[in-house]
Amino acid sequence: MTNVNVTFYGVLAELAQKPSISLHGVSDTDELKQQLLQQYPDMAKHNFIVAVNNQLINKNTSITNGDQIAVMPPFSGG
Amino acid sequence: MMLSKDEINRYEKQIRVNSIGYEGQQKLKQGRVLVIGAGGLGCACLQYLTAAGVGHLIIIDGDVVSESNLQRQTLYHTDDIGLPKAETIAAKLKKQNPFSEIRFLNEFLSVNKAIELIPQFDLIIDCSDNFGTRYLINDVCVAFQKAFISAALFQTEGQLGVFNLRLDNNFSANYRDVFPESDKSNSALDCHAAGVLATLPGLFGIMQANEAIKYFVSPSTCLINELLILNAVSMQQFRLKLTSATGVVVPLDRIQEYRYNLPCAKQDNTEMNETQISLVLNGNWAIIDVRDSNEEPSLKNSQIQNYPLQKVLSNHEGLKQHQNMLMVCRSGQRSRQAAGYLREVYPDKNIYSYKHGIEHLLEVLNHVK
Repeated sequence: MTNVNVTFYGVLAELAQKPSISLHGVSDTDELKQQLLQQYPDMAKHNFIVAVNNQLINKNTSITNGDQIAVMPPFSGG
Repeated sequence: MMLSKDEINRYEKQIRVNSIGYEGQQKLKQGRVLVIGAGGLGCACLQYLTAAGVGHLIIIDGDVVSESNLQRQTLYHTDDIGLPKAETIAAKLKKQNPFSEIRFLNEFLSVNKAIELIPQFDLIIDCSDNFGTRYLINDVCVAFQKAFISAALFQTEGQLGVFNLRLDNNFSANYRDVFPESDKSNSALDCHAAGVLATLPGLFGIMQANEAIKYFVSPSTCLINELLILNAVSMQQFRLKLTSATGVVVPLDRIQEYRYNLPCAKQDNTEMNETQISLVLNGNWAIIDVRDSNEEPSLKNSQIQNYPLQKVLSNHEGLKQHQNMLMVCRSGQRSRQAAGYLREVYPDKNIYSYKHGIEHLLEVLNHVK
């Protein structure tokens, strides 16, 4: 059973009300996104990217136990 | 291009840095940099680019200084409220380093301006505060093969990257490689709406200047194919590895038609000229003389009220009753600042500045009589 740590950035951390969570039983990044949106429906309003072990991913990518996941929206302030 | 004796004295400490040296300092002197945005990031970045000896800088920003900027935009002071940012910061930077050529444009970056300006510079620095401008800068830089340094902020976190740097066979990742545009892009809040820690734009603006120095001196050391994220509270850093060239490129001929969500000038038509003045003389307008009360010539006219600039900035209650105001001073500078400030305070009123100054206004008034 996979167990991964998900770190939130920007407004996503605000929506989750914490900087990171553990997720269990997700096998790829599409599943991970689905589970996040189920848990935090307001995240669907935001554009965000997913990184697995610090690498930005552009397509569905498999996740293995212990992977470090980051989800991040673009910032715009200056 | 040789450095003068005075320049060598000024930059001595930096020339002693092994990775810079005399040659590196020469490269900075020859550098031509376009800085887009003179807000929090721009203030910090420009101050260090100028101090470090970047030879040619141009600043573009159509915004005016407002009170809520002062907490983080450290080159502006209370006296600057209502003044155009680009012009105000350029004046300060010129005093900071007479060896740097500093130019400014008091306007927001438009598609046409981006296409005109960006090809003329070695390096572009994105200090903007909105997605429309960020995507426009990206697309024009990619089209003209120019590198750009981008930073962006959210409350206590920031993102930094050096994009589209020329490598041996291709270019480093660009902004669209990281954040493909989405119809949700506008949901991200700007500094004003989201809030921002005072020191955050300082940290990131200086990091942008740091990358700019590296770009001129040793480009291979720049932060490419990575996005750096720093949380200023936890002080934790995250480096996101990027893959370049995902193929998302807007070709130059499509940039013109692309719908960027760009900011528009709040300052449009603040200044009134002599042909427009008849509107004021015929209608229900107050003329506000913002010179100090002892300045000559003194004006005696029922339509004219003396209200010095400092008083406008500190207590504008006495002007509240007027719906239409024409600000005037000796040369048009203070009146422009007063009009800019009052427009921020009273967005529903008609407020203008008389650009030709008081002597000219008197002539017009006499002529009408």
